[in-house]
Amino acid sequence: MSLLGSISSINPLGGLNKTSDMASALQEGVGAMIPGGLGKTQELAGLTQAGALDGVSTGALAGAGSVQGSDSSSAFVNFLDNAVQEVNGKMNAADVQEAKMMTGDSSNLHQTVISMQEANIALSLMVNVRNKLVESYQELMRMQV
Amino acid sequence: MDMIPGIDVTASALNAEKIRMDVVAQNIANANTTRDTDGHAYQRKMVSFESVLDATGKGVQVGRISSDTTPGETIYQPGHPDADKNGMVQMPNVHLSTEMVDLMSSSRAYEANLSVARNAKQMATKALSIGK
Amino acid sequence: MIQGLFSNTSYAASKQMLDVTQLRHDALASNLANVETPGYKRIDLPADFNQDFASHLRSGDVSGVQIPSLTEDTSATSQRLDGNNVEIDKELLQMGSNTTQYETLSEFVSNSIKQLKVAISGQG
Repeated sequence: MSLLGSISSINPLGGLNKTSDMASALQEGVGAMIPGGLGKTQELAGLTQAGALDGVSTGALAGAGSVQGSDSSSAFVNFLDNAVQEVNGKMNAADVQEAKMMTGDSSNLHQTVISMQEANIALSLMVNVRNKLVESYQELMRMQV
Repeated sequence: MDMIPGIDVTASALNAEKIRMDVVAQNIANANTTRDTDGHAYQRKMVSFESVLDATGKGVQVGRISSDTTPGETIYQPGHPDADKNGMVQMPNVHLSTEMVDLMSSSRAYEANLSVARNAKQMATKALSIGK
Repeated sequence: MIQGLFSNTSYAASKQMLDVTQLRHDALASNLANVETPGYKRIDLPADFNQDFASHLRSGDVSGVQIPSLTEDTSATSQRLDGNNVEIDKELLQMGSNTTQYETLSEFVSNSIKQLKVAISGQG
């Protein structure tokens, strides 16, 4: 399945370019997961149990065959997309602060350090979310149908 | 610019006070110089400070080093090589008491600014350790 | 999601106060640099800044606080013969407490960041 492939191909250590890759891969991956996974109603029950999709009702998802099939699923994709954009934003901001410090433009040492730390935290959160998603997915796939 | 906050301003102050101390030292050293390079008795030098507006604040610089033109004492010493026809010798207008007071206030300002620099470096060190 | 991590009022307020404390350091450094300059008048943060900031903090929203600019301190009246009104000992004491304030704020921000790291990684 393409989800596993795309998620494991995301390298969180790649930095700025990779976070936008992460955004598109996650979006594609989760979008691919939903129609594929939702095709089977038993897996649906498993999905809601695993908590991978929050607030999804079984009735609404039964027989859904496309990415646009459920508002909640695209909401989740958007949610992840937004989160990754925010992480990207934070990392960019930290880079801008560092560049200013190098050119002698900035006299704000604490702001630079804080930006760096916040970018680290944001990235760390994103990576942990990714790990949990992969874990949940793998858990899901291990279930007997 | 300032990695350590305010360091340009403090550096200018340290420099200015140091120049002032040098001038005081020169005055004291020449307290008895009856013949300067221009042939007259040594005239004490005075330093005037002025504020200079910087990006971060008001630094200070030495505006001018000027000579104090108030005449010094004249003493009666006929045998002196620099005595004039009446036997009077023009002494420099350096008074040790004045110079010592200048030296003390300059030295105190210098130490205050050193303390500012120490504080600033402490702040920067602390900022660098955020999150660690 | 990410912005929510950092939207705690105290955390945001501390970051702003760090900026303000550094600005005040610049003012005090300037005063001490010019302690022997004739006619120099001491500068500091505007007198109403602290109250303004405190009311923002109480209301829970510090995003509207603007970093002030340094102004001449109108409450400093005693001056020496040369017109300079900087009292060296007072400035030095204020500088000491300003530095301590900066270090405390740094410590608070640092602590918040470390807590977030622990929460995210699940390891103390």
